[in-house]
Amino acid sequence: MARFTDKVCIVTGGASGIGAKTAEMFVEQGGKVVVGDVNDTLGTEVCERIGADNAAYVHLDVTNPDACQAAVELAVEKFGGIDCVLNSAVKMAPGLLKDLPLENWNLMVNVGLTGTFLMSQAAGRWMIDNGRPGSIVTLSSIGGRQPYGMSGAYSTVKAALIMLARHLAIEWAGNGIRVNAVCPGHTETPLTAYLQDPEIKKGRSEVTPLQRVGQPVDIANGILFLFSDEADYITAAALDIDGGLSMTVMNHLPGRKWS
Amino acid sequence: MMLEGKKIIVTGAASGIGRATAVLAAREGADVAVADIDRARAEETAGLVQAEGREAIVIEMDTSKAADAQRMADEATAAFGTIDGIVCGAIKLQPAKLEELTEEGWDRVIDVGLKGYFLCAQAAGRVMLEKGSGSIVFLSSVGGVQAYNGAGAYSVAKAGNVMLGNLFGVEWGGRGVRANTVLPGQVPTPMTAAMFDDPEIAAGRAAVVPMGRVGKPEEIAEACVFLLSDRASYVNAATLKVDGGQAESKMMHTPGRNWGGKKMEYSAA
Ligand SMILES: NC(=O)c1ccc[n+]([C@@H]2O[C@H](COP(=O)([O-])OP(=O)(O)OC[C@H]3O[C@@H](n4cnc5c(N)ncnc54)[C@H](O)[C@@H]3O)[C@@H](O)[C@H]2O)c1
Ligand SMILES: NC(=O)c1ccc[n+]([C@@H]2O[C@H](COP(=O)([O-])OP(=O)(O)OC[C@H]3O[C@@H](n4cnc5c(N)ncnc54)[C@H](O)[C@@H]3O)[C@@H](O)[C@H]2O)c1
Repeated sequence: MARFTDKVCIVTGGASGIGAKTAEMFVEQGGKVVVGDVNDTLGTEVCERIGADNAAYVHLDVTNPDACQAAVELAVEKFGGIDCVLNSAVKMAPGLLKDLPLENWNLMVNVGLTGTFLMSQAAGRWMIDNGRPGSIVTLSSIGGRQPYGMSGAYSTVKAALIMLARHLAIEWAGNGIRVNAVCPGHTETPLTAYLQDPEIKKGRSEVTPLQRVGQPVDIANGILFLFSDEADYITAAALDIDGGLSMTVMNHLPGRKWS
Repeated sequence: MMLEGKKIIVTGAASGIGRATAVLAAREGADVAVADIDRARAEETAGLVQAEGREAIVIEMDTSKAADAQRMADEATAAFGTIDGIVCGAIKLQPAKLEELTEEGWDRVIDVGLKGYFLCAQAAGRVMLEKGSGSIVFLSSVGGVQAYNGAGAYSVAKAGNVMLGNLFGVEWGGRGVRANTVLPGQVPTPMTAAMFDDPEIAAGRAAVVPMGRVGKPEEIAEACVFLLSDRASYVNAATLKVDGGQAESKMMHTPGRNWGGKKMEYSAA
């Protein structure tokens, strides 16, 4: 039996980056996925690549509770239930807080935070009502641990997501539903298009103890571990997958260097 | 298999979580050096590793002694040709209230549980640095991030484990050696037998965990094996709690609050 045989996963933001990679690997390891995203073109492509027997696409705007409910219903109808949820959807609206339009703030909070709440709630309700244990993973960020220039709204949302994961974990532990957060470091995806600039990529690699930026597979491996039974006593945890980046403040003091 | 062909040292492997980690590592394809001060029980663990079809050696040692740590690395290298990872878990409890804690009690816990981690990780790590790859895993505890009253220097050593793990990760990550720390919650093992043998304490301890139960040594071992493996190849200087949510449950112990979720009955099937 493969690691995720008979398991079903909903992936929000599954059309791209970390979500798409996780969806692919979940199926490679025996499971079925529902990919939800607002980007229908990319989302459909991802599901075609994975194969229609094991992947279904649904147009999903996570800020809409009915759409979250519909994703749950699709998973149940097509694949017979839900065991795992990955909250990966995000909409970036960077800017200095002094100038940040309310609209941009709301967009970040609505997609990143409220969307994660709504998707988790819809899936969790189904799991609880059906007496089915499960595992939910929310993508926070090292930005949720440390402030990050121009990312005031993002970092605030990402910090809140760690607390939301802990809260859901505490509320649902008695129902056999584990909830954890993953905090990636710099990871090469469409979201971080600036990593295509070789100078930025080099600079960011060099400030990371492991001397490279992350790839979606690095993050997906951690997410899949938390989904799996190997992690069946892990809940309300937040796992950094950042090559050590978040522990390096002291390395930036003049006169210090890596080794 | 996650550790196919890897050569792993586990300190404190004669018992509890260390033993479970040695056995799981073997099941995932690793040869294991079983390092412990208790030779007789280390031999038992070695037998369990061999029963998984892998090679095992026993290294009788005291982790608090630099010469022993060096011999550990030398014997593992001599037997297996190299070292790919080390899990540090050896501990000696000396519980006491702070007003009564003796200098010896303080020193023993810090020597075995903190200095010992440094010495063993350093000795094994030098071999891994040489070849430019490897993984260090420290067993800390929820007691390393929450003050464990009455446990003497335990929480201080365990907090030190976290920082030491981060430090190794930051200093050595660029040379291919990752270091991470696991924070177990409450796990019945020979170390905690005195408490868990009392049914009232056992029930109470399960009840304060959000998941409603204590952990198993095998569940902690899973996290160690993940961090040793290439699946964790970008995880460095990180900490991973394996505690059923316990460390995040402080506010739920306030009178007038409860867990919220209704307890579910699972059938044996
Ligand atoms: N890439 C990194 O460096 C990095 C670092 C830390 C954290 N993260 C987090 O990981 C997650 C995934 O990031 P990524 O790099 O894969 O991003 P990505 O931009 O590649 O993918 C995000 C997806 O979310 C979708 N989306 C946007 N709004 C949506 C909505 N309302 N409903 C549903 N889907 C919506 C987008 O269409 C896109 O497909 C995010 O939560 C991000 O904050 C990424
Ligand atoms: N059991 C728990 O509830 C729990 C919770 C959190 C963290 N931990 C941590 O996990 C690790 C393992 O704990 P356990 O419960 O399996 O303990 P254990 O007592 O069952 O095993 C500890 C082992 O360390 C060995 N040891 C003691 N002193 C030594 C020395 N000087 N040199 C070499 N070996 C020595 C002992 O012989 C024993 O085999 C410890 O670091 C502990 O702090 C355990």
